[in-house]
Amino acid sequence: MKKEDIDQITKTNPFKVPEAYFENFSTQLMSSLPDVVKEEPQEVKLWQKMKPWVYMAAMFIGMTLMIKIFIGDTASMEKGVLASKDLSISEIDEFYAYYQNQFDTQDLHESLFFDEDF
Amino acid sequence: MEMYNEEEVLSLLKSKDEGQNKKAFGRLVSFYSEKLYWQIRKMVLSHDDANDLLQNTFIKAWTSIHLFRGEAKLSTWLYKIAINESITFLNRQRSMNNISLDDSDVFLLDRLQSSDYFDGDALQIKFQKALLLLPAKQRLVFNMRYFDEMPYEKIADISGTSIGALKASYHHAMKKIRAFILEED
Repeated sequence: MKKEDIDQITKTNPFKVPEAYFENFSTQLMSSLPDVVKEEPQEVKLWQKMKPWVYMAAMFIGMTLMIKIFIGDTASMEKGVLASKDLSISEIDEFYAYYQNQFDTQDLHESLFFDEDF
Repeated sequence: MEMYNEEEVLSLLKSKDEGQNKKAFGRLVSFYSEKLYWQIRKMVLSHDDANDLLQNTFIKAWTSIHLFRGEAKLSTWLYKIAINESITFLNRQRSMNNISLDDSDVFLLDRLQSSDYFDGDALQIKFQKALLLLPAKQRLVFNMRYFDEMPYEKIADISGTSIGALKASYHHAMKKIRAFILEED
């Protein structure tokens, strides 16, 4: 059997359809179409749009506060220690002199108090 | 019959007026039903199954027309739905008949021979058998190319396969079919 012979036989359509099938098909189909429920796009409120950003901002604020509380304090303490090293001698003298004064006044008060008691 | 203008039909389908939507869809159905029918029929062979699948195809298209974004042609989209429906149907039939997924669709042939809507001779039946021995996807490519002489570009769009692979698949199918027909002569 030659190729052409095969082609001739096989390209003829052996399938049949009922009479007037295609004519009736669309009318029949159109009457059975379901109603399409059109989904209206949901309105997204401003708050819903902003929510993730607000949450993120809150998280960062929280983190900053935590860092301030836990790390910020030690940092300022270290700074204080460092600062005392930078003080000049006269400043240290002033500091002690001030304390001396404070002590003297306190002493005086105490002695006054004792004097009253006895 | 009204002239079919794809752009016009598409814009009417997208309009907010439901009456217009339906009218446009009617035009689309009458334009494509025959083409899609034959594509499905050649895959499933039986007229009743093809009729059901064609209806499902159009119902699916109707309910999801809002998802069609116009990136591809309307015809490509419809063919895709029809082919998906057919392949899903064939897989379901196979599992219902306890046939492994790797096996061919020859079981469809028995149904065809007992059908009223088939009048092929012995050679036609043999040809159909040769076709059914092909994997479903190869059969699909063969049908589109051999019977409908569809350009490879379009088949590639519909099947999502590269043109090179399609050509190879088609020639492979052709070889197998010819060998099958000549073998038992």
